[in-house]
Amino acid sequence: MAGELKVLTANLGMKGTTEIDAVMRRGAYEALIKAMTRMTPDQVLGEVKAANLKGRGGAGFPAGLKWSFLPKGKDKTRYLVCNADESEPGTFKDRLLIENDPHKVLEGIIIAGYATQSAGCFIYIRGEMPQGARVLQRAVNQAYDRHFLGKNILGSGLDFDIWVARGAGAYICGEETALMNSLEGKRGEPRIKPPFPAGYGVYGKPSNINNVETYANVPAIIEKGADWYNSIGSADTPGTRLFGVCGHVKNPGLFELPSTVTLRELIYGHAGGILGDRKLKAVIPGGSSVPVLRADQIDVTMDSAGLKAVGSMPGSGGVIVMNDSVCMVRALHNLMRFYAHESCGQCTPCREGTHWLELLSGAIERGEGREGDADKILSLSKNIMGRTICPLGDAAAMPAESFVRQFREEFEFHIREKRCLPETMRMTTIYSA
Amino acid sequence: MSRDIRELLADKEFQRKMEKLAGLYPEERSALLAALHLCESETGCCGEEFQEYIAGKLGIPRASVKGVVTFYEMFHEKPRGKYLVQVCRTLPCMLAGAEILLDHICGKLGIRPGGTTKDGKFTLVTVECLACCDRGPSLMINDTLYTGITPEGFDKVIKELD
Amino acid sequence: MALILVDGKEIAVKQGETVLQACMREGIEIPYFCYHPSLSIVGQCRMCLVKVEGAPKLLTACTTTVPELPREKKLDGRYDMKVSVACDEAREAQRGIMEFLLANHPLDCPVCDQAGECRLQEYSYDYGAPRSEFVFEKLHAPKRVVLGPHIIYDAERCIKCTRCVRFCQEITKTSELSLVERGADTIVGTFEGGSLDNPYSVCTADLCPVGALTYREFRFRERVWFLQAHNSVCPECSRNCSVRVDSYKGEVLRIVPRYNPSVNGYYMCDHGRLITERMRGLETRELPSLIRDGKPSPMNEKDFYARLVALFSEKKYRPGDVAVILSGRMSLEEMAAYKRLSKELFGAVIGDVLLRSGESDDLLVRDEKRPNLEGARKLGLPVSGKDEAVSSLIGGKKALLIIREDPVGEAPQEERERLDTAIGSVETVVVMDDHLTATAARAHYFVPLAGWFEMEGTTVNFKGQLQKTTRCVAPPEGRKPFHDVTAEFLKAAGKEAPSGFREWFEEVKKEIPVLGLVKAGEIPLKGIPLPERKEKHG
Repeated sequence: MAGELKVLTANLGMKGTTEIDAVMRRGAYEALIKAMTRMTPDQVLGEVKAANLKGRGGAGFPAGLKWSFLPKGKDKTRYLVCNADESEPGTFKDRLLIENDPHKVLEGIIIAGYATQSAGCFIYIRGEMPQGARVLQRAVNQAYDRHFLGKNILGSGLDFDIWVARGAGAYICGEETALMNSLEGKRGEPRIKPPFPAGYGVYGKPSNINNVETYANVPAIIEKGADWYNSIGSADTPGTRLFGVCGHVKNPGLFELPSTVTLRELIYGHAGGILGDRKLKAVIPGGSSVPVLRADQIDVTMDSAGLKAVGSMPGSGGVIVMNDSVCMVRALHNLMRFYAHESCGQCTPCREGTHWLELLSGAIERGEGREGDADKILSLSKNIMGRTICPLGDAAAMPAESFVRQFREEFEFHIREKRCLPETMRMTTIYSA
Repeated sequence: MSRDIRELLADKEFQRKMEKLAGLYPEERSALLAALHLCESETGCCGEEFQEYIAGKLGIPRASVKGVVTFYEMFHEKPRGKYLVQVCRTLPCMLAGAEILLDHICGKLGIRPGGTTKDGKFTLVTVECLACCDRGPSLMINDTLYTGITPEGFDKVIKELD
Repeated sequence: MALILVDGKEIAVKQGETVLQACMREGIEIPYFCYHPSLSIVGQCRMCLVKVEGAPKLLTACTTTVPELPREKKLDGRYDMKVSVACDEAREAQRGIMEFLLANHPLDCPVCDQAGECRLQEYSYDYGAPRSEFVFEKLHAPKRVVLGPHIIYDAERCIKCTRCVRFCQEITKTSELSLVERGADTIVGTFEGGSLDNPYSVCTADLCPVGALTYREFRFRERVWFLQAHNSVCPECSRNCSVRVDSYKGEVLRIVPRYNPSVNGYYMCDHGRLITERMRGLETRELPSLIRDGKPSPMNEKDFYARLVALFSEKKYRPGDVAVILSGRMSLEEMAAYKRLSKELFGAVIGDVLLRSGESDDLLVRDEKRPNLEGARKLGLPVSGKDEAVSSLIGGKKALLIIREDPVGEAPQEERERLDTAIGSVETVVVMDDHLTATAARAHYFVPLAGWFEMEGTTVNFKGQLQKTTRCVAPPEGRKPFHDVTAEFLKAAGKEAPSGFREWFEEVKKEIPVLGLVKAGEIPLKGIPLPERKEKHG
């Protein structure tokens, strides 16, 4: 088993890493100084493009390419946005980065601001993370004091501000355009695309949005170069990734690894194997929105290519492990209740479809399922998939479809026998294990 | 917590904070969520009186402010208890035992999710993923996060409040 | 200009136009709920999903524009996009959306006012599945919510298309409405009950594709399929909004805006629509009457007009002795008839059309509160400069003829008595109107006229657009348009006279030569723009 490679998490577990002095002694802001004093914005952009840094929010879009979509020219106000609205069930990497090493995130943002010659960046952090918001705001203030923010930063001519904004309890605000509406003091309803944020973002101005972890990757790329970055990980997802493993494992937590790591290594190696010494039953490998895998599908690498081969995707890097004490109907019902609760409600298939899926999975779970209900879950998923304004519809449909496809017999048993599989009558918890 | 809204709106210190918030972002209306958070933490809700005030202050239609307050889970139109107990019920915490914890809390406080204790001290709600999935079950009481919490741990926590 | 192929039909798409708009223009049906040509595009209902060749998933036609492809990339060497509305994939998606929309919809069509003009009903028939597989209890949401003085909301029927919300944000810019709550609990709400009170609030009910927003004054009045529709024009200001008047059993039950890009677009104001309520219960007479001490006594028409003719020939009023107050509520035909009558009775065209003005806005409502003042100007009738001209007109006159105006009733309280006395002191007062007004109570002779929706006529709005109103309901026998009253008059005086709207329209054409070739029966629904009036000097 390959060991952890600590690039993003190098400062985690150290003391005082939220203080600018402490982290600067450990090399923080050196990449920023290098970028702004020895490189042109285009060189910085070129380096990030060459590094093939993939977005870490879930969709995996190349960050450098995304930056290059912003229109150029001095007359245009451009904004960056940092998506810290981490709320995908199973995902807890951004919280740890923000609360433990905020300056790494800020440094990445300011470098991106220099590369794109933007006016500033909004960091939109989940309302449920007041501590993270306080840490970030304090770090931002420290960066202003050091003139890493403000007017004419390091003599580069760049004026750049960072605003910290809090969400208020809405998963949908993790969707980029919903987030922008929320930043503007509106309901977090996603916008139709086109226009894309690169042309019409916050306040209608060209905007670029990346996830916390994506920005946190930037300093190392600038410091060590694209070649170094590409030497780590796999061709489709170079660099290290933060994998959060939770659920029925003995050693849950965050692991920084190249995405060439296999799902098996992650679960049985880094996360210490299955809780309660029971059998592995199912894994959701990239946050609750990606298709679920069975125990026999874990010998794959954690990059796009590996997970695609078994019908799933890397998503946000949150790995949810379930042992054989878990009733898959109950697990699906939990997820469907989540998506129904978090649907913004503006478009029909998501509003009505997630609600219906919640009711239907709940009915099966309670023993009120009827013949044909498993197929109905599939047909509802199909009617949602690809037909909504934003990806929340797909995010609900993918688990629904995959739970039934992968565990069809259990669903049929539940419908027929009106109860859980015998081995799932008592679920393993931290209290029982 | 639980301050009277009229008293709050008349408070000079509060007005100063509002002025500061309004000027914090490139456009004033971006301060709406922050203002609602502030009112929520001071008074325990964002009722119509505050909605009307902030609508005028930030130049946002009143109906839109109501639309925002009712959209976000963390804002309440009606006052809630002094302590808002927010229990994560999403899958990773469920796998860790959140349902057992929630049952215990319901029994302990004598209320169902959505309810408030008779003395107005606790309001219990279930919330979605708090992004501490590796340390579940998690809950928040007002702004404070508790992870890996057992039923006994919960009893101890609420005993230490006040 | 791009070229697309939609299910085998070639359609040219203009720059910036969406697939939905292009298809609508060409008569290809794509179902939709949330789109409206006057509102921003939100793509929320998802009903207009269509297949676009090469796209990884179905696209909403309402949001899809067509970029022009370089020649070598054109599909089949010719097209910029190939679209299918009717393929199995698109049809299945449309059926899926209908299934979702109907899942929580109450299906209370038997008691729903929208039944018969409901898009959900219509599309259920065309695109829906034969039965619902939603076996759960439908979501309950507030019903009979008073959103405003004229609008009642049923949240269970609402499909969240947000047309009403966008109307208040984008058209009236009053923003009284917002979506509130979220997910399946999302409904439309106001900040406080009843605050949807902008002057165009009822347009939200017109825009609502289902029975969620209903027009309070029309609720439960009649099933819409029993209504008879008539094209007319709103008489409440010089905008002359094109309207459709819905009547049942001789009563006007509802007035709704009729799309006319050169006059009112899609909308009309609530004030115009509420004519129906103001009309109700007005006292009138079916026969001309002599009035003594404010009490009318009806006479048969023949005797009445003979008596009037005798009166005028006996008294030998000279033009200077007579004041005539005319109204911008008269149709062009009525005005032309008056000119003829005036020449016969007084030897000259005398009289003033009263200017009545009031509040206006940036949207539709004009300050001139009469529909046909521009028509009067076109026919060379003087429009009195000021609202308060009435008393100066009456001063020292022996006879007073007032047609379709009620100066006493409309006078401000403080002037009312003075005006009342002034009119009361005139030797002969003749009032003609569609109901017994306060002024009529001071008259010696009252002639009942047909009301605006009871007659055919033409009218010219402030921009010079000539439109025709039709007879939406029949007036009781004896109540006639003024041009027919003129004919009675002239007959009683032994003169020849044109008869009916069509013949009088020919008289109008003599004065507005540009109408030369237009026949009364061929006036287009959108009307005819008349050239600008040239001011006559000297």
